[in-house]
Amino acid sequence: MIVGYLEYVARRLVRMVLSLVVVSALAFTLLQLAPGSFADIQRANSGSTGMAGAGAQEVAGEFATRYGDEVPAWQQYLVFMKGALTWDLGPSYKYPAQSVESIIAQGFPVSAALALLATTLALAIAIPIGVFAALKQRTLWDSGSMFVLTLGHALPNYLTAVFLVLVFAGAWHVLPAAGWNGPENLVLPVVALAIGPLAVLARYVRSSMLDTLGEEYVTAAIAKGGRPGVVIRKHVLRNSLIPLVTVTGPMLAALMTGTVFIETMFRIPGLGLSFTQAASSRDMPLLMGTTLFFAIILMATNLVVDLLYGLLDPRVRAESGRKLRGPRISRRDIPGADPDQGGRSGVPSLG
Amino acid sequence: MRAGPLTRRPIGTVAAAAVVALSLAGCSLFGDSDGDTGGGDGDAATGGSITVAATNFAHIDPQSITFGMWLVQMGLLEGLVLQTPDGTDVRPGVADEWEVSEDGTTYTFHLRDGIVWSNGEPLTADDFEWTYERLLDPERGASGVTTGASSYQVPLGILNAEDYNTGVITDFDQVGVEAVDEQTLEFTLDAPNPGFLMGLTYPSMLPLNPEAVEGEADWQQPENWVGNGPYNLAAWTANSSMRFERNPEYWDAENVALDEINVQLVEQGAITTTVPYENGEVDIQAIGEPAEISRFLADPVLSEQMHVLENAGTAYMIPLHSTNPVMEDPRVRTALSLGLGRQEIAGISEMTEPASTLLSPIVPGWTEEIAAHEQMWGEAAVAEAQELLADAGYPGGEGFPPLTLLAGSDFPQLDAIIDTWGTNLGIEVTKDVVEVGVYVERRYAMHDENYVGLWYGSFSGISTWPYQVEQLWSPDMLRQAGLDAAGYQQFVDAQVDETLSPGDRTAALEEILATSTTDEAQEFAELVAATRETVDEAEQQEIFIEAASVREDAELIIPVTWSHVVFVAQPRVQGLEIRAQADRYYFKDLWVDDSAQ
Amino acid sequence: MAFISLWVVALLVLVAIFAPLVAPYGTQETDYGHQLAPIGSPGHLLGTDTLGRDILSRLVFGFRTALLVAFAAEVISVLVALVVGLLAGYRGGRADGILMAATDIMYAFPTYLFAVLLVTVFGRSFWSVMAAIAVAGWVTQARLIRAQVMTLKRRDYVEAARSMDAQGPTIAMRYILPNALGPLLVTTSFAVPAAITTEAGLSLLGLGISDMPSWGAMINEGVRYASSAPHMIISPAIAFAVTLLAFTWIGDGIRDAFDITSEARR
Repeated sequence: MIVGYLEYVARRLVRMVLSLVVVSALAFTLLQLAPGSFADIQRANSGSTGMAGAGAQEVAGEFATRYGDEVPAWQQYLVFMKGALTWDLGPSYKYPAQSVESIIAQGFPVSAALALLATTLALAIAIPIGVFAALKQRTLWDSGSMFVLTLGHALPNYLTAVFLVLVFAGAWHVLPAAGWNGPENLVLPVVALAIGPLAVLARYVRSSMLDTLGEEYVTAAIAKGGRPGVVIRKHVLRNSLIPLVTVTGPMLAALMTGTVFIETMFRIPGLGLSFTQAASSRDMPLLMGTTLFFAIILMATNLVVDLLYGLLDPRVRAESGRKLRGPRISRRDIPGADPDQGGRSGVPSLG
Repeated sequence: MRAGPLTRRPIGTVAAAAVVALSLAGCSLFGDSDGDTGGGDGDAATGGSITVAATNFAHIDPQSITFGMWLVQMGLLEGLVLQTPDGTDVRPGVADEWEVSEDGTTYTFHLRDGIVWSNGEPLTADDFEWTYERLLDPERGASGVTTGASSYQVPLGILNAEDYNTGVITDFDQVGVEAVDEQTLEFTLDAPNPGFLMGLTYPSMLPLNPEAVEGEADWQQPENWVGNGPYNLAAWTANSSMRFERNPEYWDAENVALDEINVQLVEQGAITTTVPYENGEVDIQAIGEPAEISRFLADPVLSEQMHVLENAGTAYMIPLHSTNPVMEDPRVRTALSLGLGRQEIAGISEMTEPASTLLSPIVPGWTEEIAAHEQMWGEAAVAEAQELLADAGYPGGEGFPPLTLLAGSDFPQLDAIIDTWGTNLGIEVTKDVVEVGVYVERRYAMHDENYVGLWYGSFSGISTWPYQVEQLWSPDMLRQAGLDAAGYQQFVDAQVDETLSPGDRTAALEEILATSTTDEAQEFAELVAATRETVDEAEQQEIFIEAASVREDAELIIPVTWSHVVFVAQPRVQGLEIRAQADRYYFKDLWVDDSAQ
Repeated sequence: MAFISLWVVALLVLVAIFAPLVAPYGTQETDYGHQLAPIGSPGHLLGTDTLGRDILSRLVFGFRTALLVAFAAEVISVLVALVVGLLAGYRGGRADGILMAATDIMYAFPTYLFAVLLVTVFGRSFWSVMAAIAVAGWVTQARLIRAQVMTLKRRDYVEAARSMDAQGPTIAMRYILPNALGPLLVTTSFAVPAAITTEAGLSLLGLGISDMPSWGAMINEGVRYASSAPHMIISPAIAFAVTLLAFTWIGDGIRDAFDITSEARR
């Protein structure tokens, strides 16, 4: 059992490393294909009146020391990956005095804090609403709250953010519209980020509660004379909330890696902004660094969630490692509720 | 079934976690940029702080072209001379006196007595000489200190500077910059240049502290900053904000009013609204959206807060290079210029006007006669355009190939250009709005016959003749635009020819430009060169006017609109005047008066 | 809800198909005398933009673009997903291994990063935005089909068919595919609003479709004018929300219809 478990973890880790290699190669290839070079863009962005190509040559030799001058692209890739193995990603093109790893170290805590706060907020609201809606199933409370939640979910977070800014900063003047000076700057972005996940989580809690309430052991527990309140607290709630781990994990990861609109709109110095800048300025080391880092975060979260789920859910634990291999799909075919499977994956990750 | 008690525990845990996370976030996340943003201490003359919005940048080396170099110039570093607040002349900066030789080619600057860097070390003429050697260093890229293109302005005309910069000569002693003694700096020019003093107010000419720049640590970070301006860099959170604090070592510190400047860094191209300004988070901000401008103009309170510099920028279009020769026909280019609905395009915003010339009309001595035609728009112009187009073989736009209008971001003006060309000339134009990396490549690429048209851009700069004629839409830019497909291919090939030495390449490129471009473009280049042969300012201006006029007649670059520069500032901000140069104003000239509401 | 949504979507699709008949003006038709006219202006029901172009007409054509992108992307990703998913689920072995590896990779490559890179490389055209959405989407659907196939192929009637010497492809096409279609329909109906959102999001980053009227571009522009000309954001935002909601509810409805276990419980 333990051996099987370890073997499973090892297999997952190997697959993770292989995927990282492919992801980095893919990103590198796309960047090579992208028109315009870093130097050209620097020149154009500054409104310089220079002649074609002149500035490009001037800057071309600059990164010769690390990536080699006029070496084939694949060699540059190898140099980068060699550095990545030792967490030495070298200087960014755009911020030459800073190493890519230090940019990540500065930006990631900001993005992560936003994501954590938003997830916490979403959970804090979604669980009570979901439980409540399930207990009041098929009443006006149930359909009403689900209606409002779908509404919140349907709107992308950048649009929600715009309206929040217009109301709280533009009309009422109670919160700052943008900036990163103190906790008051967190309120609007966190709320804007939390609304989408909140809706998904609440719907998930509701349907999970309904599933558990219908299980035989619940009926049995009540039949054996358990008070409904105690049964619900002891059995239903716990078992209904465990599957939440599978949704919350990927959601957190998606938020951590995908807050770019919110970061741009609120001028938050997070990592999403660094990635977009890197892509548009063709800053190869920074782009590769952030892409790899994002990929690691996403895959690690996924792995942790799967492992955690196995530990938490006695039903899964009782089964063999084989069951763990075909994750989640066989367990629950509610496509829309699970951001990993539902076609909605574009929504949380887009913003 | 009671829902209440069930939910208490998770909520409690979650709330506790949130509080912990928030307090953790509060301590470390925000860095040390949370300076006191509250207003002043009530004293109208000194103290207080302001918050301004600026376009984001990656570094603040004034020797490479980024938005950062303008911010540095606004308060962190100071050159030999500064512009006057209205931007029409210079005033003393680090130098309190200077002389010009009679032939107009030698400038001698005397640095102030006792002038020092912010670390207390003396600021000497040698520091300037060292700075300019770094500026012109052809190998500078390799040192890894900077990324943008060099911000050196070739038309400044310092003796041998361009040749040193391109590697044609290698001995810096031959360049016309010399520290005569600690306090005396001498420039030698290759020809008299009436724009020289104003040219010194460009960020590339700011002094840098040699020890700091050559030091191990990153000199652009607050902890390592050594400057000579009225303010020091106190904090910088990349992509978010900056904070300046008063520099007590500044020579004129007693006349600097504000204690602190907060800069909000706004991503270029990000959605910007005036909400932060109207919410009191920002004191000074540039605005550009036509609807915002109209709303501010219509509002009796907000309109009082607008600061406008009229016609400071020009939007223009330049033909793309294509194997399709249609744009090489001067009749076609003229027809496109005259068929442009400039009034409709300018009508989009209350802050733009139809442009009859590239040259900004705020340049002293500008006249309507510089324009290529008497009527650049209106019925008569359109009629002439239609006639020319018919002459060229496309009556009513029939048989005219579909044109492309290339731009780096989407403006309503682009749609208006396409729309009016369609209406007036019957030609079909599609816009190609591309991401900036694609834009820069496509602008100068050699296209196949299916991709033919123009690219859209805009310039603004100081309103002197040398700057507007030599620097913006420079002779080389115009001559490049005038090359036909074969000539341009040669030009591009020569640029990347590894077998040429730097000197040979410069000569080869000049040879191609001089022989293959249009006659007007070459005439323009020769006229600009001729301005250097005289010290008589009136005579020089004559030549500049003629050159500007020839540049319009070439019709290689089509003027579209002139735009005003609009800033809004809270009523408490005093002393704000907008200049034509992109730094717009100096922080040292501002003060706040909290009673002014 | 699903039923009303179905009518709403049907109406919207009709509007998109007959856009030239529905829209009172052309998308590029300018009216220089009446720029930024508010909602309810004579001749312009939803007002005009900075060039005096009719917002209603642009909304109608913009919706056409959005639907076209979403449907085209979905068709491509569903087709690819079907082939790969059926193969992986039915054959297992190497095909399955490849699919799982692709899943891992796409999962590790955040959707928007991928979209940003694709659009950066291939330009801001209809085709590259569509490709970006399709490429990001097929893996999820392929995985879904694979899972369905894996459960279905153990069902009695499939086993029965197999024992009667039916060939693999026949079984896949005749017995498994029809049963896997339900969940696929659900993901697809959720994927349409996701695609519309993605396109709008790319526009917001300056990477959306630039050669056709697009909702993303309209919203992007509307946001800039939010305080000065609110009508430029209000109607696109409402249209956007209604469309997304309608598709989401339809997805919910289809899911309920196919989810027999939950149906039985209610």
